Amino acid sequence: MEIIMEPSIMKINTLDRIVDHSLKKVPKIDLQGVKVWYDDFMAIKGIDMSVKQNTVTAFIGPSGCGKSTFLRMINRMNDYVDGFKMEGKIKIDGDNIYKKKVNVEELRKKVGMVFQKPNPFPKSIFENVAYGLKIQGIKDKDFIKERVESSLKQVALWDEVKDDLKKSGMALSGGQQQRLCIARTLAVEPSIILMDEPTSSLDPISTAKIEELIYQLKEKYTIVIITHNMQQASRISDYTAFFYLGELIEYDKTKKIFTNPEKTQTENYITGRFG
Amino acid sequence: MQKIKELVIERALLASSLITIAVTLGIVLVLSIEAFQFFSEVSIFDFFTDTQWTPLFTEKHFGILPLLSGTLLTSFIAIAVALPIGLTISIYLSEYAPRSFRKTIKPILELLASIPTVVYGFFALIVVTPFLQQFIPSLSGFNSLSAGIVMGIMIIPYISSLSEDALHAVPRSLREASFGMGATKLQTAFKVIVPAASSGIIVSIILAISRAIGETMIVAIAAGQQPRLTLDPTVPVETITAYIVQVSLGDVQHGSLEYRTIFAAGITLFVFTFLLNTISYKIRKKYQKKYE
Ligand SMILES: Nc1ncnc2c1ncn2[C@@H]1O[C@H](COP(=O)(O)OP(=O)(O)OP(=O)(O)O)[C@@H](O)[C@H]1O
Ligand SMILES: [Mg+2]
Repeated sequence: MEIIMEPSIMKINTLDRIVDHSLKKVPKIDLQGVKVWYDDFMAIKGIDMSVKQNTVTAFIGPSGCGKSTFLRMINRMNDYVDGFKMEGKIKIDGDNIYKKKVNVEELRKKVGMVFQKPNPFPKSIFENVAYGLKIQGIKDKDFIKERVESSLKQVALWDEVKDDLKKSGMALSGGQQQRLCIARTLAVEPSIILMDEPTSSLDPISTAKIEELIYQLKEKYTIVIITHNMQQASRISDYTAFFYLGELIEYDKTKKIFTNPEKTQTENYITGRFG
Repeated sequence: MQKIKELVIERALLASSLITIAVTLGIVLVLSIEAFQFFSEVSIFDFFTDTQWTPLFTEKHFGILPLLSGTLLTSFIAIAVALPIGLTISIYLSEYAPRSFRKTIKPILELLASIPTVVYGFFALIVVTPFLQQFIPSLSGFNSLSAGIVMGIMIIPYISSLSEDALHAVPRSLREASFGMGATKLQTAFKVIVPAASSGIIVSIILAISRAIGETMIVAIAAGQQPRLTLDPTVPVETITAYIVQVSLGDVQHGSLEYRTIFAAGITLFVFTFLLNTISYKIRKKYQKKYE
């Protein structure tokens, strides 16, 4: 991995400061001039975007346009990819997360991620949710128990699993597994949650449950979600970003994008004429 | 014409697999018959409880325990060496090493297992033992310590290679899930990847144990030929395999009781390795289903 960035001495710890950014009008996530390469292939060709706190932002666009790449920049998940290179700045609460001094593990506690395919650990339901707390070195058993319960309640899974928390997380249904994965992410209390097509492998009922959950989560979290489902984007998001071939074509209020988009490319995509 | 060719090939394949089965059955049969005749002369109770093994002496004792302890002691030392080293290598290769390094180093490691064991045995006897004697002056010229250590080096690739395969087979998505929650590489490796690959790792360890128990040359050369019921790694011992070699090469008369002892010892060895292989086969069957 090679990261081109400006030197600076501030630490990511400033994320911990309790500041109401919605009042200060500092965007929650601020991406400036972001370019990404995989070896010689340029996957993101210079994108600026800012995301407001406590909103749901949907990323849409045809397959291979760079949505996942761009999303995974926000928690530095591309760091491990062979041949990854980047340019530009990504600020969370005003601090550049690609500075040399940034503790990537601390960053990822603030920026949780939910993946396309449910990926519970081959551990018990309880251990799945407690994992993030345990790796932080938290030993207080009562605290962990409470947090596991509250997280499972937030994703409406508690009533379904409270009697067999010792059961393997992999023994749940796909929809339950995905809610478990969301609960696992919530347990470490991030402020941002990134979701890469979280419902694409689920049935309509599980999908509806997760959509409802996302709607509720927005009160406490800032959510960015990739989806190929236009109805989903219009139902759950406040803002929508349309990507095409590594570029951000249009980014606006969801209502505007779906009723009166500026660009014909956007209109063609959401009406299903291409992509 | 094509049809006849296919038929001939098919029959040839069938015949060769039948021959393999027949040979295996034949070996088991001979082992059993000879062992049966042995146990008609020596009580099975004495065989398992007598603490001496002196079938070639005038005062004969037929207790397998000294041979068994020699076998288990050398194998234990070998595993104690190979397990930490093998696991460390496998975790490093799978979780840390760059792809290109992993690709070059794995075959090189596997070479360790293809060095003739007589070379290892010689190495243990004339290099490792004198070296260890500098630190442990009481160490005998033949001992289970050097033999065990060198055997441990030989079986490292059994553990490192197979464990690495198991670790590598853990889906990438689990790593990402763990990293995504703020876990470090080390935490991810030990809290998620190793537990997820545990069955594969256990299989690799069992295979390594079974290889160590069956190993002959190293222990015959470096551990000595003195059946002795002991857990002291500094004195000469004899393993089951080394005893079989000793008698097979000696001038014991065919059909005699002394001669049949090698079948009694052989069937004990066979039962051990057969059990270990069966266990590892069962675990592997279960494990294959997990991520499909
Ligand atoms: N690890 C990688 N190495 C090389 N190229 C990659 C890698 N990951 C993605 N790419 C390329 O970068 C481009 C963007 O990929 P990305 O996964 O971000 O697309 P996407 O919009 O998420 O697509 P999808 O909707 O199919 O998930 C694609 O052309 C892809 O082939
Ligand atoms: Mg994607």
